[in-house]
Amino acid sequence: MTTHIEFNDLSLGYRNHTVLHNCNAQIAHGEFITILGENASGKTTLLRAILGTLPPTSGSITVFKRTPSRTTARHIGYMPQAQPWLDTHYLHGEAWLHANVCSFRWGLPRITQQAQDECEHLIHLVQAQDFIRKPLYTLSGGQRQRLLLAQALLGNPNLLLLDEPFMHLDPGFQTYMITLLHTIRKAKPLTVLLSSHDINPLLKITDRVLYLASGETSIGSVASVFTSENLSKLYKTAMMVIRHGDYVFITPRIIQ
Amino acid sequence: MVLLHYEFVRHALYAGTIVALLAGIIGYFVVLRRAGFAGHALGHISFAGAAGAGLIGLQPFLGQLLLTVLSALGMGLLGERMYKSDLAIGIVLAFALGCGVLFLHLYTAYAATAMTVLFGNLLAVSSETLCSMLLYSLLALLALAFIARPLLFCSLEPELAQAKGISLRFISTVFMIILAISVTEVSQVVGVLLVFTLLVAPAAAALNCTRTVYSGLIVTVLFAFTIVWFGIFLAFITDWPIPFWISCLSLLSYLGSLLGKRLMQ
Repeated sequence: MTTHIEFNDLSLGYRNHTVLHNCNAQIAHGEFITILGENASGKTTLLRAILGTLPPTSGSITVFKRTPSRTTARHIGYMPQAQPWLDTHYLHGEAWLHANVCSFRWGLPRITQQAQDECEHLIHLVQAQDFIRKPLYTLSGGQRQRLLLAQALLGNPNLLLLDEPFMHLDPGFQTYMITLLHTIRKAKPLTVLLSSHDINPLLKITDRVLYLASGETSIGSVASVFTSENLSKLYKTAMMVIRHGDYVFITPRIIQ
Repeated sequence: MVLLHYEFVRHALYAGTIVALLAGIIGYFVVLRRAGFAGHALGHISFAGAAGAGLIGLQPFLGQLLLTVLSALGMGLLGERMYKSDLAIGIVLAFALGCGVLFLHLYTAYAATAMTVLFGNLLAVSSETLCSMLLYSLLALLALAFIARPLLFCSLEPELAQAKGISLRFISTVFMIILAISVTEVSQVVGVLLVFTLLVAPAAAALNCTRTVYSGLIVTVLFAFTIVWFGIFLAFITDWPIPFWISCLSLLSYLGSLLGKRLMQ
């Protein structure tokens, strides 16, 4: 297995504010990693560093064995955290998706038959055919998420970064999306980094988890990361892991 | 059609058509990027440029061009947060007007030209002006065609564009410079006070009733042509100023598009 992403003593932050501190990890080609952590724990920051839009404050990061750059970014499918579309988003979904195709090339926006077929295929894959001709500003949060996922899958990337993809999604589509990711990964080795608040829907599909809390990170299998001892150390406060069947839940230990 | 026998009428129509085409197409991206207020500010800055040109011995048009392009460079380099900030733009815009007044006070020879810059004069377009307008328009549109694809994407999805390694700053700086050249040119015809109208109204109206990029651009240009041609025509019939009719038709087309948007939903 070749290494796809590597963090070496990686620290990330903005100005005087450190978000992640000395993170070390190696992620192999084809691995599915769930990034867990509270709001503002650094999940998005880490994804930005992989994309190359945020340089490390210290340490290093490599993607496909190279420093993140324009070239590596083009092989990454990125689904950002959903922002609401403003009422100035007048285009319909298909026109929007077409605008995403090879958008870094100079010249007039053009789309080849092949790219058009790919868009068509992705629209069906994310089940967006019913609302694809509606203007973006009329779409719901879940519909928006589906289009963002379709956009991330454009151009057959070999690394997918999904930032909170389940936000706004109804449970039915959440399950569908997990199955979809599973199907895509069976067809070809695809590295996935998915950030989420909850590990439970992903227990079956995830290979390892990367847990972020108070600037520290912990990476490993669900069983090894989700222990009261490990999480207490990470959160710097007493935590408790509760298992119910296959499911895991964590809570601060308040009751003695 | 007797009107077309007069050369100045023909020139007005030619100039108006060039301006409508340029302002329409650039305006489409201005509206997509929600940079309308920045375009408006460039208009006022171009007034200061025209008024100040005499002080350093330049033609008013060159003074306008110089100052707007410099401002565009500044806005582009300072980034999106700057030129989408109502406060920053409002303050700079007011200061530019103030400078314009000071320049007119210091150097009065261009006072009449400066008035033209404010309100435009479609009826006094010379052949030379027409040629230079055509040249600048072609240059601006060529430059726009070159950056159109990443520009569209940056305008729609800045975060995704950045993730794909597109330099938002570079694209926005180039776009602002194209906008500066266009604003300077449009202001020769409709005046800086109405630049906003042709830059924003046709595109805003078209975006309300189209769903794809090219249909949007085509409808924008058609709206712009209609507004300018009918504006000139109505001005001749009524003897009221052209800018009034152009702004009036712009408003009507926008209101009409809102109605159309309602009906389409």
